[in-house]
Amino acid sequence: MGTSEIPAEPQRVVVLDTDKIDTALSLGITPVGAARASESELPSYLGDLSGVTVVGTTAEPDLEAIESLEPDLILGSKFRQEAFYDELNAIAPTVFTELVGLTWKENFLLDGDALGKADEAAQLLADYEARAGEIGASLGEAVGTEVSLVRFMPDQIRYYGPDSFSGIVLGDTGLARPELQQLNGAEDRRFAEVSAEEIDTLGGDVIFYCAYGDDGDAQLAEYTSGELWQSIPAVQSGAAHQVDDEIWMTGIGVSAAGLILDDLETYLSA
Amino acid sequence: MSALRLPGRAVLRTGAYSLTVHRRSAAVCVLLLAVLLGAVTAALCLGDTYITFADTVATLTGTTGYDRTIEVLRLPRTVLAVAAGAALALGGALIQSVARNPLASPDIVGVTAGAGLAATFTLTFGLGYALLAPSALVGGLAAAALVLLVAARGSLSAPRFVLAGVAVAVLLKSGIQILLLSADAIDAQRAQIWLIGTLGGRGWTEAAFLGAALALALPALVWAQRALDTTDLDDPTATGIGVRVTGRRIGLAVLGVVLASAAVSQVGAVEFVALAAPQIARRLARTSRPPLLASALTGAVLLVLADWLGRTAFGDYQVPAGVLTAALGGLYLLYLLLTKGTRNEKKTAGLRARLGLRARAGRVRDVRPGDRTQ
Repeated sequence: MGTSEIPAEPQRVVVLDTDKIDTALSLGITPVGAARASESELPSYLGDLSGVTVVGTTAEPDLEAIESLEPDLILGSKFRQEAFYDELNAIAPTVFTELVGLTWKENFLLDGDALGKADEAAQLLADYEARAGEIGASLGEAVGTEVSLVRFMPDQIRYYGPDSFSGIVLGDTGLARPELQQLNGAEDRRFAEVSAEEIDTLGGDVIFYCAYGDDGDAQLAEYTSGELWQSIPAVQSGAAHQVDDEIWMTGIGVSAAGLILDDLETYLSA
Repeated sequence: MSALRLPGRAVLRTGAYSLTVHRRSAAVCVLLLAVLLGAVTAALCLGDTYITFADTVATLTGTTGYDRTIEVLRLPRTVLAVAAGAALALGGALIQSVARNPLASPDIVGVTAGAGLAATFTLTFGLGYALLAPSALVGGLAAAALVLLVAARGSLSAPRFVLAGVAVAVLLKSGIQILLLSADAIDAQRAQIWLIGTLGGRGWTEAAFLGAALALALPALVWAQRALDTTDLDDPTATGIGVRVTGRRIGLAVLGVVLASAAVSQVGAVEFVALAAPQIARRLARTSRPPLLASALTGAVLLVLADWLGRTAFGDYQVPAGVLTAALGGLYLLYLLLTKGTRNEKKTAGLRARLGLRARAGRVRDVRPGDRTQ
């Protein structure tokens, strides 16, 4: 999009996508402002964010609110805020990452660099990857357990593939995935939709499921109480676990990844 | 020289040339201009940061601490709102006059749906942001051309024009739905915001494009204002007094469609400005058809107010202008329909009865023998 002169140690950072809230706080920087996802508030898994001003949604940031915070660095996603680049860059040096999710590790390193903490970011990522590897190794034979990822959206049900954020974390541990959910041969291997009548075909020895927003919660409640869901072997054996959507799906960052590893330890090591 | 008196009109003469001006329309235009200036001032002064009128003027003419707030964040989109609102309203006024139907707006005749389909396609297939406005412009014009072609099989009669527009628009809207349903959630969300219409993230580039389009259209608009005088007549009467009905209708429709497409391509499918602004202007001016200048000013006022309210009145939530144009325009049009509309129609009915003229013939200028006084 252009080049920006950014301060060596930015003090007042505004973040415009959910992954960047995780990035900033993982590196010990509390942003002065953050955009929220359209269906939810700022994430709660990162602790107390009451000092962070909400500056609109990720799709429609509130430019004047951002300006009045007098930031010295703005982090955003080209993907979401491309139209606002000129205005944002007039307010403060703006750094955009290209994609969300798929390239979360590269984004973390780039954003870490922009925040003046390239070394810390590289170290945090290396620590996470080492821990993921250890968890995989400690599982022994159980690493062959097929893990299913299901998410209830307001208007559809999705399963998540190896290129999604949580799919990448599972991959780092070496855990197996059901055949269907590997999305082999698909162009987009992040996620795919499944019909409500076929949720018993998703496979998996263990299921982690979550819901996006209030409407997603309603969908989750409706389907998981239904006969079809109850007939799934993993559900019958008590191996289906509801997890936090903010951590597994919208979180996207090294802190969220660490919390996913915590969940895996809790539910798989027994 | 005999003095020709026309009810409600003043005559301006310069040498051999003369021009009649509808007095109430002129007064309404002056009033609307004042309202527009007020709305623009509010949009520049009031926001997250309050900037006094004096500081705003100082910023526009020189350098103050508010340069970025005014010149980057507020002025570009406000100017764009004026240009886009005017272009949408002019498009609506022309199309409504040609179709002789107050419901005929760019939304109905396929412009919005065509632009929307092209924009949705561009966004969901990741063709790049730079192609968004051009593809929307082409989409809007192509859809309108299709409507005109279908309607032209039958001398472009007004009902045919509206029906063809509705049919094409419905077809294109189903295309938009198919694209939205099969797209990634994030692309679908971006397309949805475009379809509602927003001025967020838009500025000088879009305003310059629309300004140029309006400037180029100005000569055609001057012609259109005169040509519109006879659109109310039924076709045989118009033909009878020497009007080339089909040619004139195509000219007016093409002008309206081009202006509406240009506006929609830059700010998205902002609904209702094109429909409501001409009707509001017509009721204010108490004319039989939408007056062009007053419509343009009304459209500009509506969009400036909608954009300003959307970015300031709802906390951190930035409401797209398209949501509020529908709310503002809809409420005001309802108010006018419930109050002024009836009075106006009664008054015209009374006038017609007094003059003993048939409704349609009564609207032809300069040919009323009863008005001539020696």
